Amino acid sequence: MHPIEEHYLDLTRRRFFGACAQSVSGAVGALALASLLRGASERAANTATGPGAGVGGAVGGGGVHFPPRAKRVIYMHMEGAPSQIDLFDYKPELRRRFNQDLPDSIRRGQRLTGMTSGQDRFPVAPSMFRFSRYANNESGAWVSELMPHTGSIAREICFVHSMHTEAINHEPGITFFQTGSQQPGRPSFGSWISYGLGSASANLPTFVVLISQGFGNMQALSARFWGCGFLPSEHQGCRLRAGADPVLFLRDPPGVDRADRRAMLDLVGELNRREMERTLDPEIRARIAQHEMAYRMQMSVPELVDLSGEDEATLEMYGPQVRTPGSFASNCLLARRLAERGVRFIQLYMRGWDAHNNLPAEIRLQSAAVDQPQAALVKDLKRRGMLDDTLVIWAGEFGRTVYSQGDLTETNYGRDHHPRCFTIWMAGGGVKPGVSIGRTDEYSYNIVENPIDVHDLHATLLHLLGLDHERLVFRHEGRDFRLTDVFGKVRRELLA
Amino acid sequence: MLDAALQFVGRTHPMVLHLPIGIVAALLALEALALLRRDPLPRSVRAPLAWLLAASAAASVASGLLLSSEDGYGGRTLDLHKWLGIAVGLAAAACAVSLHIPRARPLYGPLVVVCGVLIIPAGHFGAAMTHGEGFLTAPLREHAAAQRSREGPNGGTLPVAGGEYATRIAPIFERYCVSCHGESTRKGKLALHTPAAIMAGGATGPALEPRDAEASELVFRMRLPADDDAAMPPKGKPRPDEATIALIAAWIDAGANFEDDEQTAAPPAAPAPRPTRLEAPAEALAALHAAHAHVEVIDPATGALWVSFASAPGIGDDAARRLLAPVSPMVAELSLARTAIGDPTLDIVADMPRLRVLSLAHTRCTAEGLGRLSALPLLEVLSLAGVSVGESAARVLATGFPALRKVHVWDSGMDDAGIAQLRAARPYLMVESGQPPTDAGEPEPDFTFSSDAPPPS
Ligand code: HEC
Repeated sequence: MHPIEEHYLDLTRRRFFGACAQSVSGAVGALALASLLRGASERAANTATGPGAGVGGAVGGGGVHFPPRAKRVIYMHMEGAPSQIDLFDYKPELRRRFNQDLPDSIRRGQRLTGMTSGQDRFPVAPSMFRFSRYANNESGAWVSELMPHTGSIAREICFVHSMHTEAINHEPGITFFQTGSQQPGRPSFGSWISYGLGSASANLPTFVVLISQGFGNMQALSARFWGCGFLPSEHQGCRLRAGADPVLFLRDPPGVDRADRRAMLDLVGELNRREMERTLDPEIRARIAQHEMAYRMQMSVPELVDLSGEDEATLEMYGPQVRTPGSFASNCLLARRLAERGVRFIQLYMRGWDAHNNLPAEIRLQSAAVDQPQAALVKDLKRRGMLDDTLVIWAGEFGRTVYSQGDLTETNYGRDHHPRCFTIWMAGGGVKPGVSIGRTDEYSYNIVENPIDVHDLHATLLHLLGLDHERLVFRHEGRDFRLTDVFGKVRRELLA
Repeated sequence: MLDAALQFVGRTHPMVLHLPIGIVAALLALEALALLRRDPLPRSVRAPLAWLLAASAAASVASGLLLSSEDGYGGRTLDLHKWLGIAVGLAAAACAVSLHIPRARPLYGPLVVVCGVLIIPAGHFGAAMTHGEGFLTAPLREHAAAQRSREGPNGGTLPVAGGEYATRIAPIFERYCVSCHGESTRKGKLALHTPAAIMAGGATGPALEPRDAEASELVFRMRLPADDDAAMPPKGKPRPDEATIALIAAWIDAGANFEDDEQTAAPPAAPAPRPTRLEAPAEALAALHAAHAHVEVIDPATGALWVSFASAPGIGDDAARRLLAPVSPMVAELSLARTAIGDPTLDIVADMPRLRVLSLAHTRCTAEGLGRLSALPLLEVLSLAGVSVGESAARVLATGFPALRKVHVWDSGMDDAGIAQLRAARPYLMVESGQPPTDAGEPEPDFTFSSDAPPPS
């Protein structure tokens, strides 16, 4: 029996009757206690998820189920959904179909968004960008001229051209990728990792979120995407902001020095501990831990964002924007620094890929902002020997249509949301390097080989982290929840 | 996982069950008295008692059923107890109901008697489960046994030589443990009544490590102070004395043999080289945590550890040596990257037989210190990024390092010649120089747009 469970069952008979007597009526008291016990047992069931439980000294971490390939994750989410057709899914034949109608045999009645469902025709818009073939561990990877740096690391990358999703709009699409469900309310991927593995850093949060503004059409990013749902609140993502105050309210106000702060925390901590003994509320434990973490972050965050220790060559590698706080380049460098400092899950958001109109112009700016930094991040991790156990993921929430939204010319077009197929890529952390997985039809509209859905991706990523997606569960409202719900298969073809 | 509220109700069973016993005894006594006096018991006494009996018996059955679904109960004794208890419950209910049905009234008397009779074996088997089989008769049997052994040739003082399981070890378990760790009750999912059960271990794993009493959970638990929550037997139960525990420890150290003497007289075979699960000493883990090092079991089967000093960059040689020495047998992956350690720590690292992955990136180690690692049998991946090991590192890495597969030498002062030399010496070693890839890609030919392609088939 787990010690915590034992602790809750240690409620003595006297306590039981005491609780009954104190409440208005005994029956209500007993019911209240029963519900308290149920909560306690759920929580106790939730603390030990794996055989490594407790050794990490980590908050909530149950430990791995089997030896992991990856120990941390850097997840670059391209908010808005980049066009696979203009970046990675090379379809040269389409150039001979310029402005032809998309055949019904390809579209097959696919649901469309309100933005193009009223269009009277669906003209095929081939990519106007030129592709190059970069050497990888197979017959080469085709990458468009928009991403030359990314192309140059093709040997490290596993392109998945056959991702598909169920959502057709951004909010449910991101929610699905981040939480395994289109409906809000579930814990995010990072929170699951935090819950499953615990923290590996003594003075930075387990799950950190960094956001870069984009150059195109941007959708709202709500904090739910890195929320912890029903998991204990210490597992939620901590957003670092660009600028002087990366974490709001972390700095001591003028006149309060570190000793004052320590004294205050000691006192509040003591009061909290007493309250916890009285109510057995685990949220109080989380609160105490968070206070202590914030105190240590007062030192660790300024050190983290201080780039003076980085050498010129490294900064240059990340590109000219690296010194602009909040840029994707700066956030990629921070991601490496966070990884070095033991942070488990680093979530980067790049906004602005939602190119319904003027796609060529927007995607140029977007790609220019991410290409060099993301390639630099992979190279930088690799040369330090960290790529082997750092899982890098690059994905949007869906893809974009082959047909043009709005007017089509040879140099301008738009693309609508397309959930049926899109390209993501991964590197490091036990992912098979230098390969392309899956194939789409000649319109990049349907998958013809090896479809991979979001649950499969999640199951596979958890597997790389040493977690069995079917055993990483949290009991909530009387049922066991998983990141993959009741779905998901580990896709061996993605593993090195 | 049993719902905790139900579990709580289940655990009231040992309290609740006494009510029907008392009530049926009272009812029987009153009825007997009434029979003697030829003055029937007034209905105002009989009916409430009968109903109280029925209710309390029902409560006992319900709580008992809940309790029995917890781990650690099972077997024949439980079945007997359960069915007898249910029979009592049914008889008590029938008894109460019979008072209200005129035609059934004559059944009342026999039913009370049935209750009273059935409750005795039901209670007995229940007690056998909590106190152990034969709890009642144990003093009598022990007395007889004591007499026999006084007469027999063997006192009880011979040193244990293995192979005396049946004669000397089993009786100890029998006497102190089997009541809770036996056929019908398996507290902590552990049973100690047969060799197979002993070797099967309990909820937390093996109960004993042959040839290592120190590491055996069973001995550890028995040696805990009597008031420790984990002590075995638990608080308030008869405890074996130190000599008895020593006997068990000696038997385990001798290999925990269950065969009899003749077979074990042969020299003990070398223990099979199965990967044992190593457990890091708790104090060592606590010290690592206190120093802000991260420790994590990365292989639950072997207990192999990943130790990282990612959030303890200030750590120096003295502290690192002190912290790492006690866990060195189980470290499989170690990151000292960005710490202030140097060659002295490598002496400890050299003593890590399971080490597979080592990062010394941006530390103060030198090529000379590196040489001390050359005998590490399992070391596969080594990061020297940012470590000024210089030219000579190529020579050091060229020999030894039997399992080395990959080495990161970016910014380590090893120049192209050194890297070439190393690659020549070890063709299968991946030498990651960190030189940025120069692949500029092979561009597709120029293209123009047209719409002359035929529709897809
Ligand atoms: C009164 C009942 C009782 C007696 C007698 C008793 N135990 Fe236990 N034992 C328990 C309970 C309850 C547990 C489970 C709780 C725990 O692990 O502490 C347990 C657990 C254990 C465990 C841990 C099993 C595991 O894997 O979790 C060991 C080992 C053990 N007992 C050994 C012994 C030995 C040896 C004796 C005799 C010297 C003994 N016990 C006598 C009740 C008893």
